[in-house]
Amino acid sequence: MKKHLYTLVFGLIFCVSATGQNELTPSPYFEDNQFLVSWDIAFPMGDYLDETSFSGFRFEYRKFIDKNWAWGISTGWNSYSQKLDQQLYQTPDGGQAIFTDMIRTVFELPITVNGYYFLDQIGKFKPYAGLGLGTLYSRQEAFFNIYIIEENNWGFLARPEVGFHYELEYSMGLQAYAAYSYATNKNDGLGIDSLQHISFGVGAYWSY
Amino acid sequence: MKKLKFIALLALVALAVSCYGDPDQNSLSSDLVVGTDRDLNVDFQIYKTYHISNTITNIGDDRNDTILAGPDALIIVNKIKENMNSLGYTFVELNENPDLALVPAIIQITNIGGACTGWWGGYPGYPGGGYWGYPGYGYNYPYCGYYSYNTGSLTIDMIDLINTETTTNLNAVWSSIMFGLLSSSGNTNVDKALKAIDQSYSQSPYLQQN
Repeated sequence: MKKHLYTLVFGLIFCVSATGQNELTPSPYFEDNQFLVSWDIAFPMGDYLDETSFSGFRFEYRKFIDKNWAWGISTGWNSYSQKLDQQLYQTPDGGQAIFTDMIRTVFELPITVNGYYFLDQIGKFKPYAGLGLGTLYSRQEAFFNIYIIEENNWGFLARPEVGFHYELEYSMGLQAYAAYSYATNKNDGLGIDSLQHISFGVGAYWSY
Repeated sequence: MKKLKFIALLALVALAVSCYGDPDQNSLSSDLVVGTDRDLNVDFQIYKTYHISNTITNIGDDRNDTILAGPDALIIVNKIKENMNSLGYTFVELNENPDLALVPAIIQITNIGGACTGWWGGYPGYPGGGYWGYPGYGYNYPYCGYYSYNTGSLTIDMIDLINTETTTNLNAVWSSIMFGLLSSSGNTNVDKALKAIDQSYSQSPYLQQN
């Protein structure tokens, strides 16, 4: 009886182990779904401010259609802040001038639908190129003395990017990317025609 | 496991530096903000003399407190005279037909009125907002003459007295508005005002006489 019991237990363990082994066997493709979190470092372009933002973040969900193509959605934020020393601001015709120092800030929250093309994996690397289209909510502020000028606006956002995945282990790894972001947000009072930046991101992905 | 910890750490670091809040406004100067406005159609070379009273219009919550006189007013008036004289203008009495009248006013009322928007907007790198001035002297501002402020303002208006016969209104051909947070110390406020007056003139080189 004991012998049969041992056989049964051994058999069960083997089955569980074998089933587990099946689940852990890499498929020829990625797992279908990915969740990504990245630290987004952004370099703003334009006249309003040029201080680098180290306080950005990006969250993404991706769905693979096949081993090369994927689509997804993403959101996140960047926030910029820059102190400008006392200086004279003049109208182009020289009629009006104002002398003050100020702190300028911009907060950005993009929401995009993304498409990606992944190259075949090279070792542990899997490079990709992608394009995100969507909207950008932004708040711009200028603080001077005890006053504040602020405006919120929405714009159309286009964001091409290139990057790669680095596989740490099955279903998990790191990602890095470089992206250019162009949004049509305007703020006439603060002289902003568009919001643009180049960003570099590092983060992690989990597949399931 | 180490990799998992590394990723978790990375996420935490990113979260920590991502905290977003208002910037530290204590790093801003407590100096008054100085705005100047000129009439672009005026050649200031035609003006040679000016007059300024020894009193200053003082507008506050107290309706009786409408004129600032004495040493406090003289400090500000003398600073304006000093700047005008160094630019080449000559002070004359009122009965000597001055070309210009300098009218200073102090405003210390909170939340009185609306602002004319767009006065300093519409060009790169320049904040939008309102023009802080004060109406009611019986003349028209050349551009926009209403105010919106929270604490205190000092204004100086330069009135053209040469062309008064050709118009029913007196025109301010140059004006300065200095505004910002006032201190509880009167001496500090006077120092701020004197510094702002100097700045008003230094940012208006077109006032210089040959």
